[in-house]
Amino acid sequence: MARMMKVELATTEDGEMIVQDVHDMLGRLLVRAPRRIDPELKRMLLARGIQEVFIPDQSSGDAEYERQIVEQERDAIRKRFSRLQDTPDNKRIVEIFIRAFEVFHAEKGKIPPV
Amino acid sequence: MSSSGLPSPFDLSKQMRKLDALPVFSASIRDVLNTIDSSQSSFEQIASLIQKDPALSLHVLRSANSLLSTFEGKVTGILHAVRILGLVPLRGVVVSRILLDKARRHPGVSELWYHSQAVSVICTVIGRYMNSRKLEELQTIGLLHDIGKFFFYDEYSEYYEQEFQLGDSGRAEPDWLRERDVFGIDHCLLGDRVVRNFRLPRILFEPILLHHDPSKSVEFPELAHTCSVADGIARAFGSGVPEYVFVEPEFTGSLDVLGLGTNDLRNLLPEVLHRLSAVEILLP
Repeated sequence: MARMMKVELATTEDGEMIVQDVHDMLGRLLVRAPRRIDPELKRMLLARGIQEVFIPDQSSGDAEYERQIVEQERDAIRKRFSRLQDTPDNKRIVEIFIRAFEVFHAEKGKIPPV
Repeated sequence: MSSSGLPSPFDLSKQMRKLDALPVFSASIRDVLNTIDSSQSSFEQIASLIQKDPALSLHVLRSANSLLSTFEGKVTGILHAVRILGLVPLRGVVVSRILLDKARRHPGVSELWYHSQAVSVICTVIGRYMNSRKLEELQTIGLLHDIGKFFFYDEYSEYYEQEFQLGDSGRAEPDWLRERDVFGIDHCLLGDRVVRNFRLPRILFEPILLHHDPSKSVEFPELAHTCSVADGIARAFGSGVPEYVFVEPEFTGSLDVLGLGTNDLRNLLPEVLHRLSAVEILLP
């Protein structure tokens, strides 16, 4: 698990990544992580009483953190397809989904595709 | 409730009568729905009525941006939103507002709304890729395909809180089959009932009723299979419903029926991910 730190939402910079789901006082999901902070998101969260969010701890290194995010999502995609029959065609489909995610994630300015 | 904590058939029968009675909604929403139905109405008249209800205005604006901003650019006004949504999806957005208002305090509703928007966007991407002439219908089917779940989440929230804990476990069963076991009815049939009660276009009924069993579709198989594929893609990318996160085996069958192969997926998925990044997560 990558390291993260809790920060005051009001002082976070736009573009900062929220890395842990944010719930309101009743436990309802407000933001599914990971999600970048933008002014509108910050305004809505503050209006709902959210004071603090978790962002990556930079001391753990961006590249390492991003690699972990991608690896977790690869595993998650494989798991979500686990109810399909284990055939070569279906494996190919799963790999296409994983590849699409990797490329999309990389193009968002994160890490180069593997 | 029975002693097991699950609803008895009698409970469900009572609740279904409540559903048929339609949720209570404001006079302004009723006026909007009636005006959308009227063949004489203009976009300006509809927009003007929506603007009288600030909460509905916000919902329409945010939904239009969530569903369409990556296709059409940022939507800044209600009239603009009405024009680019079109009347069928607009009606779907207004109906969703009514049900969201009723169920929003319950666990899972936020995820369900995100899933519904995601499937709507993916239906649109697939429809455009396949040059479908039914883009508005596909967008609306996606948005409303799980509308029957609002009823379950609203009426049996404690039961669903437990189900959500198991949604990604090896023991999880497909949501619609589990609903049949537990309630004797599934969200597809409930959704069909909701869209009929709200007098939405007939073309939406069968795809919503059969989105988990699209091979049974007779009238609109392309729409039902498109919704099935969109639902599978949403689940694969983590935008599913919390009580069952897995892609179902029907997914590959629907791909085959639509003639979508691996090369098509390679073309479609980058656009899907790009469009999904604009979908609003927070409940309006």
